[in-house]
Amino acid sequence: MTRRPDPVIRLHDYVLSSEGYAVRLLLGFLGLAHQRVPVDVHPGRENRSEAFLALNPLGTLPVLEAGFDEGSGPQRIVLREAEAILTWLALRFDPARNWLPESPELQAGIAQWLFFASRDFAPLARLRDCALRGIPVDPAPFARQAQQALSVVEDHLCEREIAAEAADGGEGVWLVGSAPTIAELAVFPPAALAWDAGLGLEPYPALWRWIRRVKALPGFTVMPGIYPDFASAYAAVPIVTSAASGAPPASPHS
Amino acid sequence: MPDDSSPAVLDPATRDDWYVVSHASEIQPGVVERTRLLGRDLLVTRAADGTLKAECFDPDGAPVPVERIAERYGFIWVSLGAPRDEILRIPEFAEGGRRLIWRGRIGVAASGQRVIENFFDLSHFSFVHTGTLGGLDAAEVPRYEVEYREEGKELWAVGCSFFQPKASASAAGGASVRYDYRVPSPFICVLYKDSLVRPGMKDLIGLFIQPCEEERCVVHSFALVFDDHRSDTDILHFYHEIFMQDRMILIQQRPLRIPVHPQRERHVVSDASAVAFRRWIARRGFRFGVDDAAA
Repeated sequence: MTRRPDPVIRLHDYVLSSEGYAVRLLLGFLGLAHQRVPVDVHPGRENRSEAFLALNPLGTLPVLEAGFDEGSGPQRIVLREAEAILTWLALRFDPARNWLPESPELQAGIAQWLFFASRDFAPLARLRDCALRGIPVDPAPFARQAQQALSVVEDHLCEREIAAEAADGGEGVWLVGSAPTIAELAVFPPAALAWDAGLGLEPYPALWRWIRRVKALPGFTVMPGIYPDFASAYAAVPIVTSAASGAPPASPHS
Repeated sequence: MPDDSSPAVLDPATRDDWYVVSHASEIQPGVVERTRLLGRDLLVTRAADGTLKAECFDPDGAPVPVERIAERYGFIWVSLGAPRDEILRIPEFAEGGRRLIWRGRIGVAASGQRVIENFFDLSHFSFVHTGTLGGLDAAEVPRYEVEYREEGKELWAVGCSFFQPKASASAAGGASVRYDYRVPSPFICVLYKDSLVRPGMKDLIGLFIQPCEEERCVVHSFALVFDDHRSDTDILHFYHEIFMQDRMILIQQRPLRIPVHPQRERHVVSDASAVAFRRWIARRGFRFGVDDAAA
């Protein structure tokens, strides 16, 4: 049997796109080689160009283009919407089905969070967009809706923590099931980037703990506005003391 | 949350300075750009013949004539007072060979001076820009000099250097990079950085800050760089990545205004430029976006 050629994956993306980050996270977790095509969203408005609109008439990012061959000849797929891209990547490249399990109940639960991420976090996304570009808007109505969405995640995680506490001490609480899924990857970027919009996450302690669990997953990648878990990032750094700092500094009064 | 109350009367130093309020390409004939400057509403328009006009309204709504408006370096500049000096001179704009990249605008909920202070600070590179402008295993800031030039009207930090894993979009590997920072106003900083592809020449990166409120600003910026290979978008996204890492720090710093009272600080040697910047702001009488409380 001849070896199938590796798939060619091209991700049209903007480095500050929260939705693009969701896809980058999964590509990182799956260790999938891919090409990044940067799109000059701001200030160039390249996503409104004819060439880009031919790829995605909505002008939204990210867009995934892939060429692959499953044995029946070369195929090509073009996908928009992070949630659709996450679904396809998980079904196509995660044979163990860790990220999108087979169980109908888990799949439906995941679909619920994918819709939630795109619909209920839209006001937060809009607030972030205005804050990043310095567009003056009255933040109050957006902030209220964003906080409602964050509270929904907080309450859900909190309930699951309480339920899990009895069983295993509260570790390993995820949005759906008992392991991380693409539901995490859709919800994590807008929630963890809320600071960009000027919304602090202090009122959401269970969300905080969940963010730390996501950051600790092997293959996790950061984006601007999201820092690694510093406790583990610094643990690997050797403390270097330069020769000069070995001796106490001369007193300016001596 | 930022405090958006603005002073009814501006201090003369702030009022008489020049500020970038837009990129020239954003104000086409017929466009009315509505923005904020120094706690005031500002309308900028362009007539069919290309002439620019600006109108400003005091916090109580009274119109204030804006007599100073100019187009320079691709940006639109406004002064709400009577500036004693021209818009700063950047001779490199007239030289050939470099690429000019307009980097768009980024909003920051902090005073503009905080953004400038962060821009010339070297000690955060290793921790905020890990892997690009600094590394966790080479965080030491070598000594540099602080100078006042142009009769004290410009502050410079010269001879700065730092080991950088990836100093720019065109960098292939790590290198120790030399920097000079020029601060001709509390809201402007131009960085002169060794070109990695043209030895002996400098790349320029400039921030022109539009102080909208005392605790909110818009950062307009440009890069004027030697780079023959990377696309504009690659270069742009490198800067957006770097700046968004800074922004995260800036919006969480307290106070949001720049503290200038000596009792508010505990500095180390690597902060020499920040110390000089704060003294310089206080001495020259700038009050907007400044926190001068002693405790």
